[in-house]
Amino acid sequence: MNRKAINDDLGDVPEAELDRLERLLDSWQTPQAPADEIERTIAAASLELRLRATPAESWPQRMLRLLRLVAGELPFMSRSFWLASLLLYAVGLLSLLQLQQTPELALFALAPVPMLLGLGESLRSRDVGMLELEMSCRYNGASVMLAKLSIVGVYTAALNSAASLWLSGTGAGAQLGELTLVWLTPFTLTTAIALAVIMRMRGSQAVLLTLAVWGMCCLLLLLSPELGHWIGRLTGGLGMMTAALGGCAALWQGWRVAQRLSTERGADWLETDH
Amino acid sequence: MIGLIRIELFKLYAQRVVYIAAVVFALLYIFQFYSSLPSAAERAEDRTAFATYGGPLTEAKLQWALDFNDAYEEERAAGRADALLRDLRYRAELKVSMEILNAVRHQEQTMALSEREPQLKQPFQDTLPHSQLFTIPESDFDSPQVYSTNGKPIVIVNQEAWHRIVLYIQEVGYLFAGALVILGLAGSFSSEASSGADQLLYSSRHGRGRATWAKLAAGAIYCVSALAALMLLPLTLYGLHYGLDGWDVHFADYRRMASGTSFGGSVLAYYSLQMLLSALGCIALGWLTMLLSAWSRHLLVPALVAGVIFLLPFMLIMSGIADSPLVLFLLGLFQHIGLIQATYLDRPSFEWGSSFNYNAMMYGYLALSLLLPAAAVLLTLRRKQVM
Amino acid sequence: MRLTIEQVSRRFKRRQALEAIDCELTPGIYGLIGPNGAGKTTLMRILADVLRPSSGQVAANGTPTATLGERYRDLLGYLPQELGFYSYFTGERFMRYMAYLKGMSGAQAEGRITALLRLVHLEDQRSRKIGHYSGGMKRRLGIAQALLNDPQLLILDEPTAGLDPKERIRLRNLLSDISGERIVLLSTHIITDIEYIAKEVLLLKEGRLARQDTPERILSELTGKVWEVETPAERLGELERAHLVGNVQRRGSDVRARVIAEARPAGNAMPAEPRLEDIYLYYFGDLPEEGGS
Repeated sequence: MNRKAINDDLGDVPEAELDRLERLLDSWQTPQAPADEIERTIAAASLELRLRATPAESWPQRMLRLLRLVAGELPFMSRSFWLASLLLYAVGLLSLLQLQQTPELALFALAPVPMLLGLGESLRSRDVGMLELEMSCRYNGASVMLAKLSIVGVYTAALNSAASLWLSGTGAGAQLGELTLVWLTPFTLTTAIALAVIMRMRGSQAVLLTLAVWGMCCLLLLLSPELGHWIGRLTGGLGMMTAALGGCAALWQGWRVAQRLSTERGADWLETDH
Repeated sequence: MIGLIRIELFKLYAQRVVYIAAVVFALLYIFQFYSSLPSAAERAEDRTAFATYGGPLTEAKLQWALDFNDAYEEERAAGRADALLRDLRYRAELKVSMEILNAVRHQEQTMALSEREPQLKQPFQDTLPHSQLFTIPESDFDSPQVYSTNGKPIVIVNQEAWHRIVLYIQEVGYLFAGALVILGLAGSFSSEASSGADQLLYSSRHGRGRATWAKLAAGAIYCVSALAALMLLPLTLYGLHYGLDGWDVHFADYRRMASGTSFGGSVLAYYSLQMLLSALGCIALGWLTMLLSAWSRHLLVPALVAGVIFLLPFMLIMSGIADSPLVLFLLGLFQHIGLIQATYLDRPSFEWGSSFNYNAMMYGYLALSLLLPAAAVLLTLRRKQVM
Repeated sequence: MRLTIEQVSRRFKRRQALEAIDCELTPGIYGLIGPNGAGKTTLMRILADVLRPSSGQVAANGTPTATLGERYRDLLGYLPQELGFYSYFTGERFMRYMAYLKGMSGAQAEGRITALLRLVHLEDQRSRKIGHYSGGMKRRLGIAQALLNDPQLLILDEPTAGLDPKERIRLRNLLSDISGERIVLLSTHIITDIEYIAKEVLLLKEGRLARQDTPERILSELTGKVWEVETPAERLGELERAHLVGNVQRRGSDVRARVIAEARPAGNAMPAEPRLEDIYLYYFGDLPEEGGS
């Protein structure tokens, strides 16, 4: 707005008054905020922008992120776990095949062993006291645990699949599909039970207990041929049904363990007197 | 010292793992027991039949058994045996008659052997044309009793209960016992090392030596109690369903398990001695596990190694691997299964063709299996550097 | 950044750990002090998003942290009081692992790891297994990982535990340097750790926020109430029964005691300059029984 426009709009304002107003406006200084307040405002604004720039992820993005997490966790898992589980599985398979010419018992007995060992590895952070720190990170404790469980589960399935493939190819008479069902049932059911146990005690103790109990069951099967015959019944519809039930039970238990490690559930295990 | 042992026992018995495993093993055994248990009616008929025709064997009973068996064979030849066997009483009486005849046949075989071995004593004369058994000319009984070559009357008893009770430790009990021992003791030293508690314990006024002795003693008590708990199971189950009658019968009369035995006492005496030796075998395994635990800071390592050592002979034998020197060496070195099963209790010589005293060898092995790990534990703990 | 704690309470099965905590935190250093069982660690865990409050909420710039989720944790650096490690990890591997968990890329992490390990004087130990670290080294490693993602909010629970005096001073100076643009919440039992650097002190007692104020204002409460008294050793008990007694120094058969009392506790008592340690005693120490005994 210029003087002419003011004159046109405010015709009844005297010239002197306009001069006074003009001088007043010329000498006006915008009040400056203190420097620290300016700094805080900038910081808050940049934070807000940062937060808005990273919106919440959709489910497919979460799954992709979990896969990336899985890939990232792999190099940090203990080498002794890979070594011990592979050795135990290989030696156990060869020994049991020597004991019984049919491969069903060997696959059945060894199916959950790498998974059971891996459960201890997956929850090692809880046992060593790193879980609290992991929970405060972007990829929190529950995500990390789920990633490790996924790694161990896939590894176990891969070992068992490789063994089934090899055995079906050696001409022992068993079909690949049947052999797959033979190991799927103990793998899923034992994983579900082990996850339920591991929520209630230290990882190493839970692993030891489940390995001992599972080993005992398998030894009794070995000593009682009449009981061992029902393993053969797992190759049909019964096997599919039990494997499916076991899989659901394992997934549910895995979800419960993740919940327990998650802040939503309240994490009562973090109660402390300090 | 008693106080220290009590504290160590508290630590051992405070492990939930042990109780959970024990319950699972008990359930497995109970499942196996009930899945093979005859019906109550069948067991009742067995009891009646053994009460009638069992006990000290007389000529009359022997004759009855022969006649019964002849009649059964006739029916079997005619194809009518199946219908007869559906009758529980008939089945029970057949069982008793078979027991009698097996006892007689066993004596005949023993007699045949004794004729080839002149050192066996034969105090009585044979009077029965169809057997070579000995009878006394007169007796206070209704019928002359039938005696065996050792001068004692042959006793016919329902062998099922005591057979299973005694063989329990040899069939599956040793597996349960081994597992409980390893589970309970694998963390005895390693858990303290991993948590850093060993620094506190070794700096206490008791010192390492006494603390280690207390641990060994507590470990031994734990092994014995674990075995006792496991053995209570078949005793209870068979006692409830079969009764424990026959506890005072000679072990030799339980022919199904005692064929060729040199043990002269009752089955209860045999069982008691067996339990004592099994307990010592469990202690040997327990102290070995504790030694492995003293060498490690992880719970799983001593447990897995002890498990492999324990089961290795089992796997080697079951797999039928050729008797190479290495296999024989391993079988000779790791005999914890044999120690817990205590099968060497009444085996005077081993069947390798030589007649050396297998008993004495195993007793010596047992002593070494107890002394060496205990000494090694003490030495290890004395020299251990706390990290 | 502005962190608002609104009526935060936390109950565990057996007890109320925190009750209706209300405060606001802005960039600067905050000292959180209180006796054992006051709820300090519980509060820190809630702020670190490790625990959720039973009621109330924590908001970052007005947005609840529960809503923000991992975006809030991106801004965090947390050092727990009891910190465990995978003992088979080396120092460097541990830092890489933490960088990975904080969502940092390899390139981002590389430079930061080296710089932080140098800052905490662990650069020459980076290839050693953590199992062989001393307690102080582990603590320094914990501090380094808390700073990895250049956090806006730094929560340190007893960070100086196990550190030697030189390291403690270094840490104090470091925190002073970085606190300009970030919120640093520091809990400690060693009052000197915060005495000179804290902007404000939060006094937590039995789960409640007893006081939040600058150290100077809090100390001004004790002006004229802190005394130094020399007395024979046998009369110390009498003094302790009648007043709050802090530091006691033995000097032969006499003792020199630091006493907190409204009025001069003894004829020879000399007024002393109040310190934050006296505040601790004043707020959390045992009060003398009524009438003395």
